Amino acid sequence: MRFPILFILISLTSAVSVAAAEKPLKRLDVTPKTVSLSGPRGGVQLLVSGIHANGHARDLTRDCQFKVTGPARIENGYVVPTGNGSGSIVVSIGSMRQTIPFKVERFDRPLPISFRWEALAVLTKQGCNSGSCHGKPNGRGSLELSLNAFDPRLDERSLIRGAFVRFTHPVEPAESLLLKKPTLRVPHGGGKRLRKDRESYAILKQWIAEGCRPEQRDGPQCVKVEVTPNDGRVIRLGPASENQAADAAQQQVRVTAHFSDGSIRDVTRIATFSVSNDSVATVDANGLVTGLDRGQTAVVVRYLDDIVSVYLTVVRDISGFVWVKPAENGYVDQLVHAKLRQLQYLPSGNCDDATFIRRLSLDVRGLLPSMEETEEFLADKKTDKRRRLIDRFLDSREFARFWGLRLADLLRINRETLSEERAADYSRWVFETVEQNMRYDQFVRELLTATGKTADVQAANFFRTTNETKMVAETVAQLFMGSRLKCAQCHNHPYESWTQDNYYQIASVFHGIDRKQLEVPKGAKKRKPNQREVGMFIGMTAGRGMSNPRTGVPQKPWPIDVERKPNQDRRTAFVEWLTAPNNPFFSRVAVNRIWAHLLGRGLVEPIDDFRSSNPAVNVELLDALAADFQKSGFDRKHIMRVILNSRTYQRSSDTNQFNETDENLLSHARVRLLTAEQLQDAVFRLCDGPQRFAEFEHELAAADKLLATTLKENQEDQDAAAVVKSKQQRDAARARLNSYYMTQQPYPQLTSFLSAFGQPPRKTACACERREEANLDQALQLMNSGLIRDRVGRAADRFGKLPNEQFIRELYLAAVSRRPSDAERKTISDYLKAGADRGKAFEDVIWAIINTNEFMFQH
Amino acid sequence: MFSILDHQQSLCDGITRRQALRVGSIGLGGLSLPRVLQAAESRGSDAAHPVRAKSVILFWLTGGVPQHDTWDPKPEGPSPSRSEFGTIATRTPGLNVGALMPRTAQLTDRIAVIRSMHTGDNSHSSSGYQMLTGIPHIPLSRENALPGAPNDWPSVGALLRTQRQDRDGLPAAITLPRHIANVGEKLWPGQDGGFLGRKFDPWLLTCDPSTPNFQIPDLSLPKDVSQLRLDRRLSLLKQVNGELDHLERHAAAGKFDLRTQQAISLLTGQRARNAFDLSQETPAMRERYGKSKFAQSVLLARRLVEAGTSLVQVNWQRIEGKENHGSWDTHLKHHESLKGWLMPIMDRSYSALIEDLEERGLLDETLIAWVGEFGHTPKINARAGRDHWGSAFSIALAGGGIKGGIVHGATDAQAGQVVSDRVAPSDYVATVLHCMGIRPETIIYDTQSRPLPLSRGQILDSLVV
Repeated sequence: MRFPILFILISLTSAVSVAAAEKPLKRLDVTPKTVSLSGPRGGVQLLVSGIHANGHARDLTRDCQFKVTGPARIENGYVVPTGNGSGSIVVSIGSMRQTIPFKVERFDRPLPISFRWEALAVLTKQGCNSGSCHGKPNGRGSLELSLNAFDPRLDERSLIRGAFVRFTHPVEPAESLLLKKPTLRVPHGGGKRLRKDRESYAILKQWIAEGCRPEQRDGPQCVKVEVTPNDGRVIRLGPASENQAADAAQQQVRVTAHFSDGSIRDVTRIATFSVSNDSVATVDANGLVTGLDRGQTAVVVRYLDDIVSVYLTVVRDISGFVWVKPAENGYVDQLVHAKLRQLQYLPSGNCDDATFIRRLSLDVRGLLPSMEETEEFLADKKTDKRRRLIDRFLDSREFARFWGLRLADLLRINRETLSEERAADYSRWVFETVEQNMRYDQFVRELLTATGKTADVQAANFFRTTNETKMVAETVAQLFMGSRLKCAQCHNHPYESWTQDNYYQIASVFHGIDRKQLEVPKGAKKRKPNQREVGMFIGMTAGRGMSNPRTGVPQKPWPIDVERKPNQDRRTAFVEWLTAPNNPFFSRVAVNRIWAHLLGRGLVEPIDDFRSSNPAVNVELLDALAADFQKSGFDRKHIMRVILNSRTYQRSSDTNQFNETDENLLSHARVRLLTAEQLQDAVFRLCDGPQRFAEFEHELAAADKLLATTLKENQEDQDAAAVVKSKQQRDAARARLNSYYMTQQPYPQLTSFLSAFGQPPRKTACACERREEANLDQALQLMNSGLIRDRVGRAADRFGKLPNEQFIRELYLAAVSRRPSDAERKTISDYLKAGADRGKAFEDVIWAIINTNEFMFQH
Repeated sequence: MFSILDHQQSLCDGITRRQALRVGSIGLGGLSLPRVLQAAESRGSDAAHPVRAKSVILFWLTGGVPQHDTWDPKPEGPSPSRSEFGTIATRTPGLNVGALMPRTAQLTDRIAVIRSMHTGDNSHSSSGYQMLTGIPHIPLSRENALPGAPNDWPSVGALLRTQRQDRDGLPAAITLPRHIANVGEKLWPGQDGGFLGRKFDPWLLTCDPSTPNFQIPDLSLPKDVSQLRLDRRLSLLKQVNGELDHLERHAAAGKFDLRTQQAISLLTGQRARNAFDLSQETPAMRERYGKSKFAQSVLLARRLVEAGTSLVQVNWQRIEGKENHGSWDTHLKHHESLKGWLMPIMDRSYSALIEDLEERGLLDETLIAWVGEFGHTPKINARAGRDHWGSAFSIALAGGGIKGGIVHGATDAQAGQVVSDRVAPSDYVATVLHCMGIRPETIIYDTQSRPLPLSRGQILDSLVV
């Protein structure tokens, strides 16, 4: 297993100054300090950094002078040997200089080319084994390669012995198809991929000339790949400075591979480079990064199976920008502001109270605030009123129901798989864990190690919605590790360091899950439950790990370095690993989900796609939230409270000149369409009034009470006629309550309205199921659907008897949580007066309000 | 024995999950973005070959194409494989077809026949998935296979939607007049956007264009909302929307506003609605296609294609009270069904469309496909029916980009096995894409961002111009 530096802590000073470029250089820093070169292919990339007085580093590799004494030459800092012997390189800029000694060995008798560590690396770098070329299943043409060389044995077979040994020609290497095709000496569907004057060509040719030697099975393995610089370096765009040309806003990257025999090789020229955000920077084949625009990007370096990312920030001076320190409330704001200041975005101000209560209510409870709540809040003069409102909403039942819905989405709770009864039990358990604010590690432990009858142990239903081993593994990885592991089922993950073996190691944890269908009880029950209702017994059997189908080797369950007794439940150690404080995923994924729900976008986005090549927009903030989450005892409400009380959450969506182009650094609130369930509920709540739901709640409470009394009167006889009757009443009351608001029930029916607005069908654990892109269907639903038509009719009943002035005021308070402006009052009042049919005019007004941006959007 | 159509089902109603997904009272599920907004850019034509077809009209014969009685008759074959109706000569010398398609027989110089289709799958829904998407269903021969798997391949219409843009509010792919489902409304997979997501679902329009005052309810305003009242509402909306105009500067709200404009133009504008207005056709023209729901849907398809829709799939109708629920799944009284209603409706509407398009000068830019999920057995069963047969069957392509008067592939003496030039559904899909000027190897991305080609099939070179 490899966890590369997935989460690098970038040291960040709050006083980043753009004027740093003008500060004088303090010293030179050259990497490596000594150079040893082996054979003619043993080039080494030097990295020259200038360290300024304020500690900032900048790349001077192309700006300094090199003077070589001895058998080597140097070009842009890349040292190439020219013979055996030793010498030195003097690096100088201005008055500063440093001497790097070097030696060259084996120049006359180089080591043979390594098939895997050189030839396959070259093929990967040239893109030959990418998913759209020979790396796709069955290859392309007659050449099949493994995706990014994850299966060297397959590549060996294909290249050395494939297609009747046509690809290579050791007697006349240059006549090999492997070289003629990509140089276009014969037609090649993939176009020109190699140039004769490049190192890649030389390596392949040499490998063929040496007789196409396969990799030694017991040869040294690459154990670590290191990329420098990895100090969160900043590239400054801008006017020329003392030591740097104006167009030199560049950074050289250097890659070394560490092998099991202790050797270290410079692989800069055969590693593969890409950037995660190509509007911020580009990177060339030799690892030279060029900054384009302010922002952040990961530079992703692949060397065969290893993927390592380093993060770079590009900054640029914005003319007229002056940082005005905004108010801060806690570490969230500090870290957001540090980033904004560094990248020169000016945050928007605080949102007003009306916007705040609507935003908070929708995010926390899923529902619009009631008119009374809004008025009370607007009238409150105390300074801590926002904090108090946050606490009140977080403690409401609506909160638990709404966040229960979100969990139920991800756990795919549905009545089709589980039956009505089991789905209800399971979702009630989820609801209770939210309501009691169960520690999140505890929640996950109960879920993943659930054992017992699904009718008794609700969490065990998890293993029914995920009904086979691989599905469990992929779901667990996606939900709790933020990893889309599915790719690794058939080949090593193309964008991260999960290997195919890792996939089957995680799957092995759940391989022994035993799902035993329970017998439908025989007897004289009036209504026989069906199999789904009776449910299953979920247990764990001992057993072997799952084999990687490619190698046939059974895999140890993850984590593989833990000794387990044969009869031990393999899930226990896995959950221990998952929820351990140093787990790189668990807390970050959890807080990122919370963040995304509250702010409309994850710090890592997509929220379940954590990998080093997809960095968070604010790594420090994600780390700080994760650390706080652990410290608080995995307290989800605590994290919500921290976020909701921050200025960042409470920011206005209105932009200023210095942040209107910002999309994701949190300088202003994100305007977003209400979710499907929120929107339907908002329409219902506006048109029917909030008391309808309160009445249902009241009815259910009364029915529950009645049932309890009846049971007592009948000595707990479940089958007594009176008990059966009150039970039916209770169920009917519950059904009425549960079917009214969509945000308040764990598994809403799929309807055309909800579906148009992106309600997830709960087929997979992917957060991408909930689609948010605007489409025409949505607009038509809001304008012309039966649902809107019906509700608008009802709203005319609710408001129709009010005098115009009061109607307008209440309508605005109920719909958009604010009082109407004078202009709005006049517009609507005029409209009501002009219409001959007052009822119709009311409908028109309500229809228009529902179709305003302000109603449909959270802002 | 399996029957795919449910006789209890009335024609244009029935709330199913699928329908619920799709419509509501508006019913524009999947109706997507106008041309200017469409995210997928048009790749235009491939310089390597000229664009022929601009549109496709797909005749989908739910239940299977009876190859023995249509494109691959075996007058010399053993008796069960022989068609009871004999054969007739066609416009193409040497080509004989079943006697129940006299009108079509006169047009074979525009038609290329493929006699060697093979799905290797004998179940409606899974073989249908293969013919609808070009990808075999895993596992094969799974009856009542359902849609919704995250790796479902997109239908041909959905694939086209990634390459062709919507016009005047009309989506690039439309399905008429109902979806395809097994008994109990068990929907087939392969009719939607699959792994591309709902955005690319063809617009399913459940309707009956054969009714006298046919209108698309989805685009009509409710009774109590007149055009005038809608205008008043919209003007009021404009005034009250102005208050928080800073919202419009945000990308999300801005995009939604464009959708709203689009919705308004569909509700109030004429262009898209004109396409649906069959009353603009002369009675003679409506008569020419035939009066059935299927035939009138074909006529509607022609109007939609004229309005710029890239693909219209017309699924076979149900006919209440007939054997096999009026479908092509002729387990019962095969010959009676063919002669009684299936072939008359098909022969007439198919030939009418070809002739009509030709008269309008549109045949060269409209590809017409006659397909179904499989063929029928060479043997007659105990109830005078023919059962499922995916080993060998025929389809026909005509019009845009297709060479007429061609027969591709051959079967054995009883039209039971392919003996030469076997064609896989993926080859047919690749050929359709090619005729539309789209390279089959064009890359699309699934939800996991994996690059996948539209089709891995081989273009049937002998068929294309």
